[in-house]
Amino acid sequence: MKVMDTETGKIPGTAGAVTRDTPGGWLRRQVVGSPNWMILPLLIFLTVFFFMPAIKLMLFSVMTQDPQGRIGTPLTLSHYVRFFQVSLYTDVLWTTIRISIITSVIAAILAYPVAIVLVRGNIMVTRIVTLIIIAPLAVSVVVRAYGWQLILGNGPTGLLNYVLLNLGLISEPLALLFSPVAVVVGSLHIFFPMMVLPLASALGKIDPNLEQAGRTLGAPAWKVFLRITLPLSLPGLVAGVTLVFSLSAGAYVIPALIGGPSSQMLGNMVEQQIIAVYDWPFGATIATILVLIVLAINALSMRLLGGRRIREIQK
Amino acid sequence: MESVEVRLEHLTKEYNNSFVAVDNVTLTVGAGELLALLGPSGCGKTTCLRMIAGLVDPTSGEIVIGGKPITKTPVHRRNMGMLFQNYALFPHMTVAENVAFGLEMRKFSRSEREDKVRKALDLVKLGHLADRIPSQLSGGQQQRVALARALVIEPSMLLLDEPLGALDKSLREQMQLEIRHLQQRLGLTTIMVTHDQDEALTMADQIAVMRAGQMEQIASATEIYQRPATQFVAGFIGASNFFEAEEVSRDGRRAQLVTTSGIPLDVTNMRLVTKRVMVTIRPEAITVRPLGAEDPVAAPNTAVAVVEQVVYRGFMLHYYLRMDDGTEVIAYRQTQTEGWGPVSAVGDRVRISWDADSNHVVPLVAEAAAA
Ligand SMILES: Nc1ncnc2c1ncn2[C@@H]1O[C@H](COP(=O)(O)OP(=O)(O)O)[C@@H](O)[C@H]1O
Ligand SMILES: [Mg+2]
Repeated sequence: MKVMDTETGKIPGTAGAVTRDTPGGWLRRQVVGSPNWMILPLLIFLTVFFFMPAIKLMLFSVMTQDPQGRIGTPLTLSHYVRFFQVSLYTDVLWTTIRISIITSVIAAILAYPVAIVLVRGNIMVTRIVTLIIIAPLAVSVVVRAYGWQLILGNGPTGLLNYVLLNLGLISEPLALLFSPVAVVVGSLHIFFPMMVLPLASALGKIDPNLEQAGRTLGAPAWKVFLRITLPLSLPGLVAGVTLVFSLSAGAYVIPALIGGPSSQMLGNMVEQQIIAVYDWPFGATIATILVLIVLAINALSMRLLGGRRIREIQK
Repeated sequence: MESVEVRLEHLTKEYNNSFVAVDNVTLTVGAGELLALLGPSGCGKTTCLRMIAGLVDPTSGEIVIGGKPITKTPVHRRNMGMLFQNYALFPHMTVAENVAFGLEMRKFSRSEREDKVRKALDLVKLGHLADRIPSQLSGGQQQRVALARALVIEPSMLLLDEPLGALDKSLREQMQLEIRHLQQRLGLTTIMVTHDQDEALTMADQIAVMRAGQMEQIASATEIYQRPATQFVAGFIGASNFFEAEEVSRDGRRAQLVTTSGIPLDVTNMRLVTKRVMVTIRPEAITVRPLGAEDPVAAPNTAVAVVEQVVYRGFMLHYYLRMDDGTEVIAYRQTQTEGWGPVSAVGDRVRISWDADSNHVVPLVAEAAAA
């Protein structure tokens, strides 16, 4: 559960505050005794370059922009009202949520067998599979999106259509490119490692004796998976789903390049509002809604992971 | 529960087509008996047990339970209770759910399950902990839950893989007696893997001593201890002193031998036909006395040695001695024994002696691989 660590980690300086002794002693303990201070540079960096701009952007979403483009008072929630009243915008919201859910569910289903092979296979198999999963990360998302454009191309010359037509599996070329299917396929490809790696890490922590004990007690292999492996790997599954959902919800490049008008997502709309329409407050509103969705999913997964039984698994 | 006989016939396991972990093992465990597979780490005990459970596929050989060959039966249909060294309790289930798991797989109704789980937990005296989760239990309690979980399915046999290895000594001894008692009460044919000779001696009807994948000896505890078949067994179960010796004369089972260092030995049970043998003598059979002037010089079964170390072990004293030709000898003496003479100290020259009956002969092996 490495992803969560930064959120639960203590902020330096809070730990020693309760002990009352000389300021020098406090400082020494903080600096010498505890390694917490080592995250200080990162914290400063994030504050300046991430938290401050992010908060500023969120503030924009409740401000008004005058005709000269200046953003300021009065404070208003009218942008949020507008977002939820115009079906064009809510449609994009639902598309975003739908694509993200479908992507994370399919990723989870595909990732289980891969993660199991990764953990239980012999060294050679493990290395090769790892390479297959990790290698695409070396290629930029944009390049990979263009790759999918070639494969999914809608005419009879699109690689997939060409193969399927020649195999006689289809008689008409499929219209895959510029559809939600294309976005799901592209997102799956790009975010798959984020599902496999936490899952493999969780599966790797399961004592193989547990599965063997289940078998000797009379469970066939599929029941062992459902009753033992699956529940014990939930921490990894929850982490993976959260990651993939968050990343696909915030996707920009994939829907922009292979999504087409029918599958534009919130990220693309933010860009339109800010770059094309130059409506900073409304762009900020959409961005804030996106952030809230991702935060909600993360909060939900933290809750799940904090549940009694999952805590037992993680021990 | 009906007791069944278990037979392994020429069971062999070769890992990766190269390494023979279990080599042509044949043995029989009588119905309701407990057999201990005893041997040093890596000798193939676990592999043997896992083949019986079905978790490892034998390369060749047959496993026969109650007259039926089960070598091709998949694990989940073998109906065996298995205990793992680390207990292998399901951490996401309560104690009761753990015990109920096997019953669920056997499609028992809810009420039957609850009834059987309660009885099984009472059997191991853990009825009051049914709703706990495993991590809230001590090691001993966890192993009891594992035992209940294995017994509740009424297995045809019980397989224990170093089940008590993780417990501390006193708890381990208590659990040994408890498991043995339960096993006898239920008449459950059991194979237990252990590398602890005390555990094997305490619990087993039969002890099978394994070495490098092969069976050295299968016999009762007394037989194994008093009449080890090989030098390895003599060295592995309890301590032994070894003297290479040659026959001088023989009269039926009685024989006169002389060791390589010239000590004459009187042997009452010369069970081998070879002239050159290894004689083993248990340390507790050797008496240590201060060297007196009146001692006969070359009487059989006696020698002169120097005390190198004396270790106090509670009710026992362990003497580490060295004979004049450099041979090391160990002798045990009960602390409370009367009439054994005064305690000898380090550096003393002493007379060691033993009964002719204490001389036990085993075949002389080329590679002297005693433990
Ligand atoms: N899955 C395996 N693949 C290859 N070698 C193995 C495997 N399992 C065990 N071995 C080897 O077989 C030998 C016997 O192992 P094991 O049965 O676990 O011994 P024991 O239980 O007596 O300590 C050891 O040398 C071990 O390294
Ligand atoms: Mg073992």
